[in-house]
Amino acid sequence: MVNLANPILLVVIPLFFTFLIALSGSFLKSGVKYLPVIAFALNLVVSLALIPEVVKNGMVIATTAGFKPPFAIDMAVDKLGLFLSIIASLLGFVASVYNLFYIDEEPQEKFHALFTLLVAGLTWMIITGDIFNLFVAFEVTSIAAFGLVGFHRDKGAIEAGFKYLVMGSIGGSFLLIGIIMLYAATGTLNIVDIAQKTSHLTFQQKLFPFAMIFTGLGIEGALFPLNAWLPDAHPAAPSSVSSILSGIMTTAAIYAIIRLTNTIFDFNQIYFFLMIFALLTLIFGEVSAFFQKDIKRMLAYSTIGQTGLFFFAFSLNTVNGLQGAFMQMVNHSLSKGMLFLVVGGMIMQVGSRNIDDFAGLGRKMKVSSFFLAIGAFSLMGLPPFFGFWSKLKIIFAALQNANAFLVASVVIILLMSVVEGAYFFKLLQVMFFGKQEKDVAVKEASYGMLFSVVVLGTVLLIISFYPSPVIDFMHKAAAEIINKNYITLALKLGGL
Amino acid sequence: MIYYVGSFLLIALGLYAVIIKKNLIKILIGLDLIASGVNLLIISIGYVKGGTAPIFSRAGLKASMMVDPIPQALTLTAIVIDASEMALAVAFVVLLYKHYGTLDIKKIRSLKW
Repeated sequence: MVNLANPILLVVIPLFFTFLIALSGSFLKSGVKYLPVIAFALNLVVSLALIPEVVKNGMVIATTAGFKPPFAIDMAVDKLGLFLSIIASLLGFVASVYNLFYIDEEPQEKFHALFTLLVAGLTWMIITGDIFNLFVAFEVTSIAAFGLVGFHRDKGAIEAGFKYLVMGSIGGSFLLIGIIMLYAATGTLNIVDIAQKTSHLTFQQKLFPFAMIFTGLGIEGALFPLNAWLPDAHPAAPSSVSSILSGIMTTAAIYAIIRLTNTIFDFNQIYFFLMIFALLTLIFGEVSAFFQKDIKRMLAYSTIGQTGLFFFAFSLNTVNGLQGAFMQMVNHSLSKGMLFLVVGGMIMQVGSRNIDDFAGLGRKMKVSSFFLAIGAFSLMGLPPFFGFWSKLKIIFAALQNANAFLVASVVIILLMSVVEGAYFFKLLQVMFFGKQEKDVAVKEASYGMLFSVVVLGTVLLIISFYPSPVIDFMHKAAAEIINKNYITLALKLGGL
Repeated sequence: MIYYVGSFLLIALGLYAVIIKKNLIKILIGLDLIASGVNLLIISIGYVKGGTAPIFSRAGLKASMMVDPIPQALTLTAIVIDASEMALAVAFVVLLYKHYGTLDIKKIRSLKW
């Protein structure tokens, strides 16, 4: 009996399948598209099998190459890493089922190989316990994403891909500079080991690596001045890829910032500065989304806004704030992932990305429109849905130790929720009550595509109506981050 | 010290090329300069003056007389990543040239930048 609760499997399985797909593409032909489904089904099983272990011990650590950390690379999954890796595997599985019916453009085996590599890199980034490994995972993810963004090879896709590549590789270089500066200061690459050795460094010594790492990850996480690539890249990619990019990639980059700020760079002076970045990101994203005519561009800008929101919650640096940030991450990943999948099916039927062409779709694609409405409501934060609980938590957390600035930022968050509501209601109004001018034959999306949407929608509905287990889990995860349990647990369990 | 100055100069030069230059190939050269600068930085962090390779080949060789091997391993990884990134970038440039018939970035604007 193989022990399934091993974090390494989360990376090894999809990487193995990536190479299998690339190698077997020439003789399996289009049969190759079933391989990612198997890979992510296995990944989902592994990440679910990790739940009891993580709940029991607080953390699961796997070492590689027969050495002990810090000499070997280790994979460490704590509560935060666990729920993010579950979401990554779930979205990967759902999107790969969706791909069975969605991707008919050649070269198929290259698409599926890159797609598997993308999700493998993201999971890797989430569970790694080694800072240079984080950089490698970051680059694996980025390179797969560059290729996938340009997959359609038309004018827009190539240009968006190139723009993303230029910004992404500069971001990677900055991240590497930051990492190597940390190595120069501490002489180790293991996150826990660095964390123990940075405590005697002065603020100025930590600031330069932090600034570099923050810039590098901020480009991937779409923080305000660095996100020019995102509104081009997310719409240009195939919809299943946009779903992964929007749902998990920005979240994973923000995860890395949270992890490193709270373990390695243990300083309090920086949070006010981060908060301003977060608010600017929020305002920029939501206001730009309001003016978009292209539905995928609108969703991409909305992703920027959501990133700003949960980054703001993180920069409060309290247990409640982090809990709100994690809840919002879950909400954003599930609903935005689902929205991109729904919209992909609709674009396939309508043949246009302009919102005005979606008029009357609510009557013709009933199931899709129903789930689009659920996702939109949850992102807006309407009461019965999970987004309501997370936004409420963030606002309460901000008002906990309220000063004038925090009250002003709560006002900004509420205002931006209204803007968010405005553009989503505009979309829903066009879809359900708009008159269609030209009579095109629009059918419901195929069952396979609906299956993926329904799975994500059901998960979202379940956590909306039974939020308390999720909220409790997030509270524990947030308390672990604030109390720096990552370090103590890793020391106890042999992560060092 | 000279290595640090050199590596940061290379990075700055690369950033300048990426931001200011309008030719796609020059932007790629800029990206490559940044990557080389970072690699030089990594190597110079592990450098010990007069140090030898980190292999216990002679008697009487102490660890303090060797250069740090980890940055060298990191550089190799980084070089591989940069190479694949550059290959992808060149592929993008070829496709952009096919679509637009030019390498001037000012003329390639179907998207809002």
